[in-house]
Order: sequence, then structure tokens, then C-alpha cells
Amino acid sequence: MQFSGDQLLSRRTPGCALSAIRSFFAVTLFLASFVVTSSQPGHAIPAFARKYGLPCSACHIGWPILNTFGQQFRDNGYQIGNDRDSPIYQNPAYWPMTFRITPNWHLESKTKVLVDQTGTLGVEKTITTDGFDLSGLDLWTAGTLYKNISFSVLPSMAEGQSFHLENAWVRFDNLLSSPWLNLKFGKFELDSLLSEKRFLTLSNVGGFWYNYHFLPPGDSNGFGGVGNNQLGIELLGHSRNSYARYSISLLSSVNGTPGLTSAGQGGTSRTYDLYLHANEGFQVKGLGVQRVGVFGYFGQSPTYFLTSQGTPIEAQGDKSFSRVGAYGWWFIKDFDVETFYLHGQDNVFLGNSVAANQPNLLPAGAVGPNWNGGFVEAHYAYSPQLIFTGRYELVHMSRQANAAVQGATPNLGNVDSFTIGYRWYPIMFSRAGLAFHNEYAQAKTGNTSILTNSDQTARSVMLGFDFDY
Amino acid sequence: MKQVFSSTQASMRRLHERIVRTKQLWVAPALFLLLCGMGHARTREKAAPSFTIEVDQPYSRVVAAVEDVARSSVIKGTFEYTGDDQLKGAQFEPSSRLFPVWTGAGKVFLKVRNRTLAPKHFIQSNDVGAVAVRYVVQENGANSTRLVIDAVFVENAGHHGHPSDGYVETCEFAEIGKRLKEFDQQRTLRASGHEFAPSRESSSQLDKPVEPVIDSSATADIRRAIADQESQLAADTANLRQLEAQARKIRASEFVRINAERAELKASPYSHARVVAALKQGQEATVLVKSAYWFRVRSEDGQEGWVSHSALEAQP
Repeated sequence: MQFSGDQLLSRRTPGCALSAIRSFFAVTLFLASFVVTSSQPGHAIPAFARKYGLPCSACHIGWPILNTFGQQFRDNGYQIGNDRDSPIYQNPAYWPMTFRITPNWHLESKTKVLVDQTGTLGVEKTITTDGFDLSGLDLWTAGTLYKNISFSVLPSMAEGQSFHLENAWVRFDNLLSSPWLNLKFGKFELDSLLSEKRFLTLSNVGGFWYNYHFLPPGDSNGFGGVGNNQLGIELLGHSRNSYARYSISLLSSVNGTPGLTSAGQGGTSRTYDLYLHANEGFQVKGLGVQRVGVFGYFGQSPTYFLTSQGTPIEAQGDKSFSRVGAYGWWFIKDFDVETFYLHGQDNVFLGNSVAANQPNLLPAGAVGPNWNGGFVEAHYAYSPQLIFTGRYELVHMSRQANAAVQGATPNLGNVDSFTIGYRWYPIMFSRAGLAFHNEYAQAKTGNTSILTNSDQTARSVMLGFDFDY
Repeated sequence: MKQVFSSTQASMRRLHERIVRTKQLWVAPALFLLLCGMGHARTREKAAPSFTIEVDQPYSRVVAAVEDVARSSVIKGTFEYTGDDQLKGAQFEPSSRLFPVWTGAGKVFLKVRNRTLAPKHFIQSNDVGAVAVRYVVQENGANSTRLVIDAVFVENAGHHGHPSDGYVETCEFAEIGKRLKEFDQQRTLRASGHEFAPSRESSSQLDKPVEPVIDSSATADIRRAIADQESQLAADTANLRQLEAQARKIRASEFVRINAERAELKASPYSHARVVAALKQGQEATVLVKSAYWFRVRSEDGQEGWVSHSALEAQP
């Protein structure tokens, strides 16, 4: 097999392309936020409430956050565990599908954006856009194919784009009659109690957890973060009440993209990642069940490809990366707080976007970048029909990928953000759900402005009606 | 023409500037809807106070009826799945963590249904947990008993306790009322059966051929016994007549008529309870349960609920 430097994913050297990195980072962040927010899967489905004749509150603290029974129901393969699971109880009119969409008005603002100006490099200005808009559309169907065989298929579409499969899996539940053995196969969300698919914020700036998708600027890692659904197989076990849970997932290194797509190149993947997660719940008298969990994602990403007549055919030079962390979910009656910590690190070749077979291209002082991040998110359920939320989140680079970046822009990529909002559910029945959603989010990204290397601040205001049926 | 055009342009510009300024006004609808939401959430169902009622029945009989209901495996007035009307699988419990230990007077009974999913008629019912009904029976005089019923749903996760909206207690009390009525009927039957049986036995004995008299003292004893039986029979007959008169009186008082211009049939015996239906003046109803101020009635169209006694009059 032959390969050449032409086939490298990227050969930019950090010293000469800081501005390109910054713009790449800004665009990546924007796209990530767009993709994430436009494909919020509707994991709260009236279809289940319809099927069982139960109120939404049987499974949700406030749609779409799951309560303890909702978690049990999900872990048990969408089965309650009594004779109500039997088809004879199902209403013939029951259609196991729901859709979710959010018509909204939103305002986006960002400081120090490079604006073209004739005869100069351009100027940095604050850009503000606003108007009426639509979120992506989710069509979700899930349930049981047979006793102890569950499934989920979630086609999702952003306006003007084609449908993609946000998830599609089949799960063999309660193997050997034990809740500790469940096998899921397909594309699915990585197991975690802090589910980004179920949280309460939707705006462009606040509609995702930065920690779940963070990549240092200039990094060529094809992994999109623990918040992205992945393709693979998952072994999950849980206690009867789902207080104690574990999961082990073997995943293709494709960032959830079908077609063996490694780092954006179809038909090239040949490596696997590993995701581990465990959590435990415990009762605190007078407060309720408190939960803690730990997780680790250990993966590989290619740094170059073998090609055939210019077409990438096999990923090569796989280099490692990891994301490890811990979280807690603390309840004080109607008030709950999520605390999250993540440490991430990428291999030096990934961090500097250099092919593993060309180590001489590594810049001076090149090291594997690493960072720490976390968030504190609180929810207050004034009633099941009115929930307030607030979050403070940060991601701080503890080591940049090389000496040039570390020296010139030590804060490059840092994120400091906060989001506040509330959701009012005037309608929350087993047939349908409607929430009025109002949110304000702000995020400052370190040294990302292209001309002055200054920090940029993005803001989102969103008012909308989030509904599913 | 040019002037008109430029003035139009200027007003358009002003309008645009105004629109730009009004972008900041997104706060107004946000706040308005927040207030709507808070108002809406405030109008949520309110927890009912303890269901307390004075029953014109002896303490021992009410205790028996309550124990009977507490030992049944059904909790009325709540359900999990749409289409059901009660919770099955409840158990009689000597104590429950869902209620603090009762230190007051009276006898306490508890019925608990574990692993219940977001049951109806509990305020902001959510998640899986246990439903408990507590009955406290207190002696309140020779022929009066106070009954206090409370129902609560507590999530297993322990995040919340959800009091009942009053409907569960009302339905459970209706069950107790039924039991009391059954006891009354049984007592009446038993009483008549018990009282008359000896008479029948006596008369059957009298029907038997009389043995030749051998001993005069024995004959005297038999005669005395016959006289006793005859006087007993007379007393029983009088008693029967009295009971029949009482039954007629009870039957008459079971039917009432609405004497107010407009009366409300309520889900629970409280002024703020949910209105089941409006009743018109002159409409007739059957009394199911009586308390000091509220009567549980069944209207002509079959709806059951509570009506204030001031809105009712006995049917002539």
C-alpha cells in the first residue's frame, strides 16, 4: 500500500494559522450548536402515555427529564413489568409515534465578528440577527417488538436538510431473566443519567452542554463528543429500581456516522472505541434519591488515510483520546442540581492536526492538549407545569497543543457560559404536550476573534412553543 | 413627488428604528407568559383538609365497618391507568412510614398500596410510589362516632409526598357508609330471625302431640314456659311493628328535594370542592350518607356528590 502526504487530513502548522484555527473553531462551535439544537430528539413521547393510559408525570419530572420510574421504564426496555405490557391492553387506536417541533422567535448576537470591508482586512463588529424560525423536526417511534425486545427509531430533520437517523436500535432486554444483562445494537445515545437529549434548554448558545462536544481549536479528532449518538453495541445492567446501573459500549470510531465514516471519510473506519459508565443512587432521608456517576470514553481517531486514486479507503495512524468524568444529581424536594466534571485529552498528533507518519511536522513544544470542564445546572419545579432552569458551564484548556498557541493565546478555546430560562406547560396530557419556552444564554469563548485574538461573546434569546403529539 | 417619497422613506426608517428598539421588548411577552404560567400553576388543585365526619352510629359498629374497608384490597377514588376506577392490590398495614405515628385519641387503621404509578386525585401526582389511606375512628358520645380519613401518595424516590384532593377519602367513606348500611340490614335481619326463632321453635313444640301428664309439677312448668313464650311473642310483635314504623320513617327521610334556587353537587363535602353538577330547585335526590352539614346524594340522573343540608328539604 502506498500513501503520501497529499492524503493527510490537515497539514497546517499552528504557528502560521492561528487565525484559521480560530475561525475553524468558531465555525465548528456554531455548527455544533446548530446541529445539536436543531436535532433535539423528542425523547418524551406521548406515544407511551397513550399506550398505557398514564399521565406524562408517571415518567417525567417535567417533560423531557425522566423521573425514577421513567428511568426504570427506559432501562426495562419500555416495559412497565406488569400485564399492561401485553398487546391486549393496547388501544387499537394507539399509534406508537410522536413528533416534536418548536416554532420560535430568537435573537442571536455575537461580538467581535470579522466583517469584510473593502481595502482592509476587515473590522470586528457585534452582529445581531433575529426573527421567527422553526427548530428541526423529530419523528420518533419506540416500543417493544416482542416481550423483552425493544426498539427505537428516530428520524430527525433540520429545515432545508434531509432526514438523518438520530438513533435506530434494537435491544434484547432482561437476558437470562436478569435486569443486569441488556444488549443494545445500533445507533444510540451514550448511557448517562445527565442526558443532553432530555434537558430543558434549546437556544443556539445554550441548547447543548459545551463539555459534551468540546474539541480544542485546531484539533483534527473526528470524535464529536460524548453528547453525540454513537454506533455500536451496548451491554447495560441495572438494579430493579435502576438506582445502580452500569454500561459498557463498544463503538465504531465513526462519531455515529453510518457508512464506516471515520473522521468524515466514508468506508474507511476499522477501529473501535470503548465507553464505560456506572452510576449509583442512594436515599437521603427527607431529600430523596441522590445520584452519582462516573464515565470514561477511550477512543481512537485517524490522522491520515490510505487512498486509491485519490479516494480515502482506509483510516491510518489512529491516535488515542479520552474523556473521563464524574457527575452528581442532587435533589432537595422540588429543587435539583446537576454537577458535572470532565477531563479531556487528545493525542499530540490529533491536537496539532499532524499525520502520525509525519512526526517532523509537529510544531515546537507540541504536546497532547488537555482540558477540564464542568457545569452546575439547577432546576426548580414550581409545579410539574412550570419549571425554571439555570446553568453555569465552563471548559478551560489546561494545556494547549503547542508552545506557539500556549504563548500567544493561552485561553484559546476556553468557554464560559450561562443559561437561564423557564418552561411553562399549559398542556401536558397523555395525548400531547405543549410548552412555552423562554431562554437566555450567553457564552464567552477565549481568544477566538480573528483580528484581535480577543474573547468573543455570543448571546441567544429564545421564545417558542415546544410541542409534541 | 420626490418630497413625498423622501418623507415616506423617513417614516419607514423611523418605523424600522422603532422595530429595532422593540426587539428589546422580547422581555415583555416572556414576562407576561411567565406570569400566566405562574398563575396557571397557582390554580393547581389544592390539597383537601382531612376528611372528618360525625357518624350517628355507635363506636363499635363504625370501628367494625372501617376495619372491614381497611382490610379490603381496593382503594376507591383513585386509579393508575385511564379506564380504571379504583386501585387494586392494597394491603391492610398496622403502621406505615407514609403517615406519622398517630398519638391522638381513637383507633387507627391503615391501608397501603405499594408500587403505584402516578395515581389520580393526588396533587401533582408523579413517579412511582405508595398510596396510603389512614382511618381514625374516635368515640364521640353514646351513639355518635367521629371518623377522620386521610389519603396520601408518596414517591418511592422520596422527593415528594402528594396529598389527596379529597376524592379518595370521600369514596372510601362512601364504602364505609355502605358497610354501615349492610350492618344495619344484617342486624335487623338477625334481630328478627333471632327473636322469632324461639317463638317458632316454641310453636313447633306446641304443635307436637302432648305427652300424657304424669307429673303435675312438670305440667305447671310447661304452662309457665308457654305463658313466657306467649308474652315474648307479644313483645316481639310490638317490636316488629316499631321497627316497621322506623323503617317507613327512614325510607321517607332518604328522599330529599332541593329547596334552594340553585344548589351545587360537589365532589367532596367542602365549600371549595369541585362542582360535579348544578341542581335545580325542586329536583329530587336520594340520600346516601348524612353528616352534620353535608348530605351525600344521588341525583335523578345518577350523579353522586355532596350537597349542603341547607339546600335540601325532606320530601313530603
